[in-house]
Amino acid sequence: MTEKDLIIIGGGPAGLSAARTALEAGQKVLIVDRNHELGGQLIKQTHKFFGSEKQYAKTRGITIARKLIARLEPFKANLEVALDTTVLGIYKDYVVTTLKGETYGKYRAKAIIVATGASEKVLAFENNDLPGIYGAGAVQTLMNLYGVLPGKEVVMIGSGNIGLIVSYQLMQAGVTVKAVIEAQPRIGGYKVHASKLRRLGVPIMTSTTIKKAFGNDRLEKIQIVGLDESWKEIPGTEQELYADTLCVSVGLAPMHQLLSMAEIRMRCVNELGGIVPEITVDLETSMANVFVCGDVVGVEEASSAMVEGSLAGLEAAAKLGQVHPDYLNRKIEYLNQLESLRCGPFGKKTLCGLERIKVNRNA
Amino acid sequence: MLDKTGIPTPEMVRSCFPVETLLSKPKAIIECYEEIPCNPCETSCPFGAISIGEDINKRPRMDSELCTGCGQCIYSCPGLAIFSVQINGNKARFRVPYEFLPVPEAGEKWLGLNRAGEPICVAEIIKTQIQDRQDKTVVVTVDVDREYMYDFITIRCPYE
Amino acid sequence: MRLKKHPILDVPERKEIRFVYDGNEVSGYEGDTIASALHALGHRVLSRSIKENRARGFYCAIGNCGSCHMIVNDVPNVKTCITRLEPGMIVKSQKGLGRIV
Repeated sequence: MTEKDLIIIGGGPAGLSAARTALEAGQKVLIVDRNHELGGQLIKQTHKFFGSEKQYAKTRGITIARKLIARLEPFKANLEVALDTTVLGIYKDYVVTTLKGETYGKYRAKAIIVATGASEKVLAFENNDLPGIYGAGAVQTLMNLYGVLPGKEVVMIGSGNIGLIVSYQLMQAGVTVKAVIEAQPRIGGYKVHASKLRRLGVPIMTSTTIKKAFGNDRLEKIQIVGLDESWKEIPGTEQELYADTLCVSVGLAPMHQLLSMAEIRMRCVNELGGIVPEITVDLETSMANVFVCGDVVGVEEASSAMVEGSLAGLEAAAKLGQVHPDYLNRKIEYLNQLESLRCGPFGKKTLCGLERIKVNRNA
Repeated sequence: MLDKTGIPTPEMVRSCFPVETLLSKPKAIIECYEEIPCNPCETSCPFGAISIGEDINKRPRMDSELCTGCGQCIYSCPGLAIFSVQINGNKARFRVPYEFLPVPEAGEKWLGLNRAGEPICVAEIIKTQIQDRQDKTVVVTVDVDREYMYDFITIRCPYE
Repeated sequence: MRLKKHPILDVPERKEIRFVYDGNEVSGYEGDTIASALHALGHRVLSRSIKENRARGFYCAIGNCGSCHMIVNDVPNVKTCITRLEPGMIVKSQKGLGRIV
């Protein structure tokens, strides 16, 4: 059993930002990530990010990852990073177990920050398990990380930001996107992303969903159908589209499993993407000294993940007695930034969801 | 309609343009119709022509009198929603952001597309600008016939 | 089907890695996972399902869904989408449940 002060589970934008503020406060930190490199999903994001300068707006995701990692350099002496290491469990006595290859590890932490992010949801339709049907993030991983083209002709399901952005990235890689299919009557993501696609001649079909996929051991074509205002299929509107690749981009769900395992109080909140922990305004869960940040506590964007991470790192370190030299100003700054990111129309859903999980600190 | 199709109406597009008399010099046009948390256009403008304010969700407001057409906002916008335009006699000269291969070369004639991705005119490539600070967003200077000024939005390579 | 050039990303030259897939010698590149190398070679069916023998390819590409399990160097249920390709690996399609030898 190895004793650690602060373990951060997840080295994406939230985890890296948490590490930075905790280190600034003089706290020793161990980051554990199951991937081969730090950066989380940022390392596949070739597009420029939104938000304000404070959240690296107009910088490409891949560059933001490098910057967040570089910011930890000055604190190397207090930082440990365990890569290719999967956290298997968090226990009520603050034991954290890990697996790297065949090596099992056991740690006891004084504080834990869970920044495990979210994973892609699946969509139920006939033959949705055919090879050639991927999550949109998977296609992004294939293209941007491994330089492998997913196919020749793609149909994208879902017009949220991920669906729109990945469609654009597919076009950039020379892959034809035949259509973006959206079940709602409106486009889900930012209209600027949608406009970029329309300029490329990619049709966006709202009030449409996929009914069935066809193929012999691999995807060959799909059948789509129109939906009415009550989300019922309109008979006679079925159409067939030939495609060798289907991307399913129907939302992300927080990867809550480690928190649920430790019997932390959780709630199912649709606005936040699924099962999320109850939190105080300091991002602490019902288990003392266990904090959360990023998509695991509500699916949003990397911009809010970074700010939440910074806040969680600040608070976790303070709880361990390492109070950041600029604690109060930083706390106010981070809370202000979160409010600023969330006060527009796209933030309404998140604020609604957060209302349902915010609790007051127990004495 | 933008909500359903991703394409603004002609009235929405016109509302982003200043009066044509101002277009004797190049002016930036911002087609940002939605409130999203984003403000790099404001922070990239060296002349204070673009304002968003404290609430970064607010739509950017362009003061065309202050705009010099320098183009820094064109490659700063993460949504690629900004271009510049200038009227030169019977031609409209655009500077548009472009993130595809192949990159156009001066003297070539490419297809000029409207907001639905339909080819509507010839686009003469005047110049291609690639600088480090643009971070891979190429800015292409293009001439189209003036009658297409409110329809043209981007270019497409005419060859495979 | 590999990317040769990209408007944003650098596409560097990478070292070739040889490995064996279902008895045939094939190759991928340094930096590939087993699944990405197989995908580039046109192999999309990675395994078959336990009861119905349905074709399985990968879905999530980040180790969450379990669709990409294959037998690698005699070890079953290897998540090929997140396992780095190494020279000389012996990769076999997995039919149904893995058998621990």
